[in-house]
Amino acid sequence: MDCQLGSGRAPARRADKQFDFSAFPAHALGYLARLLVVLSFCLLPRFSWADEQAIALINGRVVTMTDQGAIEPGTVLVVDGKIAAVGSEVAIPAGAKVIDCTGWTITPGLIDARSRLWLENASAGQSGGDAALDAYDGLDRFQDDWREVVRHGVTAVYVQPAGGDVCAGVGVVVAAAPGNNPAAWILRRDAGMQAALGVGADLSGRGRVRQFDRLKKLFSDAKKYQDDWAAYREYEKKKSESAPPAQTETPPDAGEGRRDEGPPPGGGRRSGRGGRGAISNEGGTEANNPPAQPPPQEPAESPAAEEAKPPTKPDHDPVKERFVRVLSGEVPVRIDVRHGDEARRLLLLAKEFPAVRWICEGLVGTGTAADDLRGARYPLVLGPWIGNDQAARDVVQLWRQSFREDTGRLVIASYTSSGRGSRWLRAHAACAVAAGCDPETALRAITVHAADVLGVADQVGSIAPGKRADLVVFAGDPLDISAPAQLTIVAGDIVYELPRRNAPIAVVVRKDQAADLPDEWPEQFVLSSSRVLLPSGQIAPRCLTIEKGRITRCDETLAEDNQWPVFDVGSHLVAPGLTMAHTTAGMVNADYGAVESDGRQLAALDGFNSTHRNVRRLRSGGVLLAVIAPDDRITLAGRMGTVRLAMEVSVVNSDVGDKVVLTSAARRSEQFPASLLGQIELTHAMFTGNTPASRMYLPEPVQAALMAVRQAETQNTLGQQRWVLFEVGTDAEMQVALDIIQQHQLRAAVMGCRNIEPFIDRLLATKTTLIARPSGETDFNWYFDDLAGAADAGVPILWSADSAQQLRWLLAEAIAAGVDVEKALAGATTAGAGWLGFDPHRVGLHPGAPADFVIWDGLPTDLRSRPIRVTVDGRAVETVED
Amino acid sequence: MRRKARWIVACMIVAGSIAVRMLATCAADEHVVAIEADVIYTMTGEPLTGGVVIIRDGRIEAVGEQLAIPLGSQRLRVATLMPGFIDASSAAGIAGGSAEQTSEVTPEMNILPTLDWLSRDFLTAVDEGTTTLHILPGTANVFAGGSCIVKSAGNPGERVLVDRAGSVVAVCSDPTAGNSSRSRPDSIYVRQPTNRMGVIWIIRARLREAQITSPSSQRTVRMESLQKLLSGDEPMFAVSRAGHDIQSVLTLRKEFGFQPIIVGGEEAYRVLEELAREEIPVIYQGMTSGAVRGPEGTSLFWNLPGQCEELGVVFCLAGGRLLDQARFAVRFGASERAALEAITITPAQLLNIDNRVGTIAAGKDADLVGLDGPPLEATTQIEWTMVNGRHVIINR
Repeated sequence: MDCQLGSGRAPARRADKQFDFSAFPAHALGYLARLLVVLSFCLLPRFSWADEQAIALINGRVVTMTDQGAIEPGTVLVVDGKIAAVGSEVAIPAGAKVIDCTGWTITPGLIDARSRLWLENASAGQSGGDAALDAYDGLDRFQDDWREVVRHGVTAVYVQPAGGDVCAGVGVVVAAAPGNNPAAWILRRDAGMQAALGVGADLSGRGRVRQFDRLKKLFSDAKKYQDDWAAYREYEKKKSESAPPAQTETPPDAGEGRRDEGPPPGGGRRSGRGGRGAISNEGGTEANNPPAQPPPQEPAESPAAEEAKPPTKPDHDPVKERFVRVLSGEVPVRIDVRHGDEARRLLLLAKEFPAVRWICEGLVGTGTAADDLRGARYPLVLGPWIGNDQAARDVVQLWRQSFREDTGRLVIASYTSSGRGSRWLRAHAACAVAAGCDPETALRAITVHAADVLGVADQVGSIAPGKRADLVVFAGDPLDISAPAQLTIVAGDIVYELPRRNAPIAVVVRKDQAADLPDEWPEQFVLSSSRVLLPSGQIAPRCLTIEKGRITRCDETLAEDNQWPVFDVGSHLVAPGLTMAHTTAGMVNADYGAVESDGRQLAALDGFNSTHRNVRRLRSGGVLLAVIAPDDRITLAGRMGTVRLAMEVSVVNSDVGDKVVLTSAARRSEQFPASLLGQIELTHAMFTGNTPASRMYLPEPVQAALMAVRQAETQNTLGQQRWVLFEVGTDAEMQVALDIIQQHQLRAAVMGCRNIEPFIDRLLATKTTLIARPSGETDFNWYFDDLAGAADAGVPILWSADSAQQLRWLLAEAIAAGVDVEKALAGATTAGAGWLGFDPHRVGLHPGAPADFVIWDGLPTDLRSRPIRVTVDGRAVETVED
Repeated sequence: MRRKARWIVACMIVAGSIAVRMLATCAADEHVVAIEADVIYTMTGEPLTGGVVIIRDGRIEAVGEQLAIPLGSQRLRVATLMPGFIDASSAAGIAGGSAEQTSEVTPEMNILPTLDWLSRDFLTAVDEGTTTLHILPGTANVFAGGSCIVKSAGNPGERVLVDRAGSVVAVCSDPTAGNSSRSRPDSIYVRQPTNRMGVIWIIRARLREAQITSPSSQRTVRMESLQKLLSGDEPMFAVSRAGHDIQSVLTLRKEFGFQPIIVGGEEAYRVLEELAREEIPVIYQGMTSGAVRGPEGTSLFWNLPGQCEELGVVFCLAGGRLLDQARFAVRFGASERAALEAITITPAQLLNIDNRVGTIAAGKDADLVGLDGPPLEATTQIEWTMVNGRHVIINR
């Protein structure tokens, strides 16, 4: 139809009120039909039956996370929002909604032990550092982020006031369920007290000492408060014993006398209502609480009253009362540790307050103190594992030993600062597996262990009768990101259902030991695998003969006349190296910000350092071809080049095309262009040969030479021998890029726009390639739906990210959203290489090509797998161990 | 009660439209629409009572009181029908900065390619009954570039009415913002103009330069666009709000002889007689600014439309919420007819697009607004907006 403004998209996206005109009532005859439609629409979107109707998930592989282990095939019966029965033989009541989960895996809803759901950044910001805040008060129940989160199987999230201060306040465990159902929404108040030993602006050693002192003071003040109340109560008790009938004060233990009740000695009160109660009763408390309580007007009969001055009644302090519950261990402290000093001070503090329960988070940069911390056997909330490469490397490096030894105390969290960030929880866990964590441990770390640490294990985290029905059905292994969640149930309600029924994605059995591979390949050898990735994206058994760094044969079975040693890697995947369609890795001191906005004379490869750590990381991560591009600081950013990441990185082509940046990154008010208007002007000028002369102070001949160089390749670009990359962000920039591509008939790629669906037709019409980038923390799921839509429509897609791991993550998310696996695999290896400027004959696993390949212990699109051997020119590449 | 009933009807219509939409693929070639209205403000003469408008393929085919409705046409009923409103000064959808402020003189640039067709601004415009928008670049530099005229809905390819409607010149203090002659030399803000005199000087210097540059020597796109301004081939939209700024426009006009259209015109009441004498039209935006200017009191300011009407100054109302503006204008002294013309036919004539839009007449684009009562009543609501006969937006 003609609705151009994209009606029918997700509601969070655009609130269109457009309807096609042809839909307008023609005559009165349609009223009955309309009534029917209205009725059906009233009934459809609410899952109201869930309250009464039982749900039975049958024939699935049920990962219970209890002693029962995995039941296959098993049935989970949900009645009244709770799990009624689990097992292989479960009687299904009549009228239950039966969902066939054959081939699928049913797990407890995943739990993110540190994220931001329902809590906007503005609400989570600064605090007074005095433990006064309660994350509950900042929750915004009208947020829609939970929809994004449940789509990835996450059903519960721990949120706390931001860690920007020494001690901000208490956190809460919330469910990813509609905010209009409070009963289902909050799992536990006061689930942790946020604290940190070194955050904020002052990160010097002295600053950390100050932080420590402040935190310690909070603890000691609370201790003193507790002692004062204990002394006072002791005194009151004695007094009441000595003078029973005439009472002015109610003894603290007497039933409803809550007003005067001090903090419980051992943390008897639950779930924090005491603190808030005290706030609301403040007036009354004060009335009962004169500043200096005179001793009761009674004849001092007992000798005890004479010898000690009676203690004054302490002031009620709700915050301190909250802290008293921390002292007793009722509310655990979520202590953020990011430095060796902090770890040691934490241990000191722990010695002084032995009853406090500590849960360690942050945990990057602790250095050798990591071992001390492990010795203390605190639960560890580890993350992030992906997204922030440096932090992820730190976590892996420091806590690798914990994967094996602290499995019972390991929790994996996303550490995101956006409510939507929790949807990556599975990716974090999968990366932990790639880093050496046992898959079972990783899954426990986001289900039952997370529930334990958050104090909600009695409600969620495992599949057992009586537990809350928070369940996820995955179309594959729960830790394989490319297998989407089919169904998510929170408190018995189906809150998400994948519209298509995904074919179950086979669980790849990962062998622990690879086939016996030599440290270095011989000069000539045969590599045999039952799974070789062919250029089409298909996987089939093949035997590759490799002689002197080249593939000479590629046979379905081992040639009979073979004379070379044969290495059989079994079912390990042998694949060509990944191709990164755009990267700035290895660009050193290549910030173009200062020069003019016309940088066409500059070639990215001239600023490329082939021995840079990031380049080596790319290679050992399995990326063997890359387009090196200039950064995005100026509009006509310069020339892109292609490289093969061999041991000695070899330049394939130092000039494959131009990069044009239309985003705001290339707009600066000091320099033309300061607006999109100017960027358009400049880009058009580039193709019409009318670019403004350089404003640099150059002698005239130099000036002329510079302009000639800038203009030199334009004809080749217009003749489509070179391609042009347009980096765009907003819809308007995307439109502009497509306009320019259309007008000058360019061979072009666009990169960076999140909103793809409205442009699919134009991308096809202009034969433009889409270079996909990973989604950001704040992006929505529809980004990947759009990618899948574009791929379906036939838009060529190439892939790019900042690291090999992120590239694979991007592929996995796209596959989960519906992009064809083979298409994605081909696109990320060989399919687009020719287009990008590589020689197609020298790319891929076929005779004549260089012996560049990667042996994976799973699919590259499964984040759990690792490249176990990267080979370039028939030689093994040393892996950079971070 | 009436409201509630209307709401229910709207619901039915929504549901019905969904239902029909599912079936509509079978009847996709159906493009004849007949709208029956109690009152039709054609804006070509007196309103018709009990008339019919026939629309075929996005254009108005016929308008009349006694018209046979073609068989099989889709039918709509509405209390009041008006031409879609025309906003003669808008910044809707501009993305990535509204002016290239690194240079004071960029008359050759065009705002059109930077429009974001998916922008919410256009949805708002449609909600307000506005179907045509004149979009001007910003005023951060003196010669900002070319404006464009677009429809508020439809396929991006079909939405452009005029890709360069005229050249925008900021005859006001806006381009001086932030500029200084005494800051760091590496900043673009070390540039002219630093004051209002500087603005006028830049206009004068550049126009003079264009005057003396012969067509044969050193012709640049920039020079050509300035010369088009001088020759009157391209209208000049002079953004001026204060009285003295409008005075400056008049002064420059005397020197160079161009024919300006004042955009903004908040204090035009101070120079109305000159404007009338020189026949300079005003695209009035004062209603939207909300500020009461000048020491003369509010009535002069609020009743600028009334005064314009009295003195014969051609004016239109612009800057969004056009129907509300028209109502306001009537309340403070303008006639009903002038107020309605100021959001329909007058802007169409000013922008030279009256062959396409601005009236309900045969051959015109089917840009229509359906209302549930007299347009200038405050309680009257817009029921739907139609752009090119296609997009009907139910406003509630």
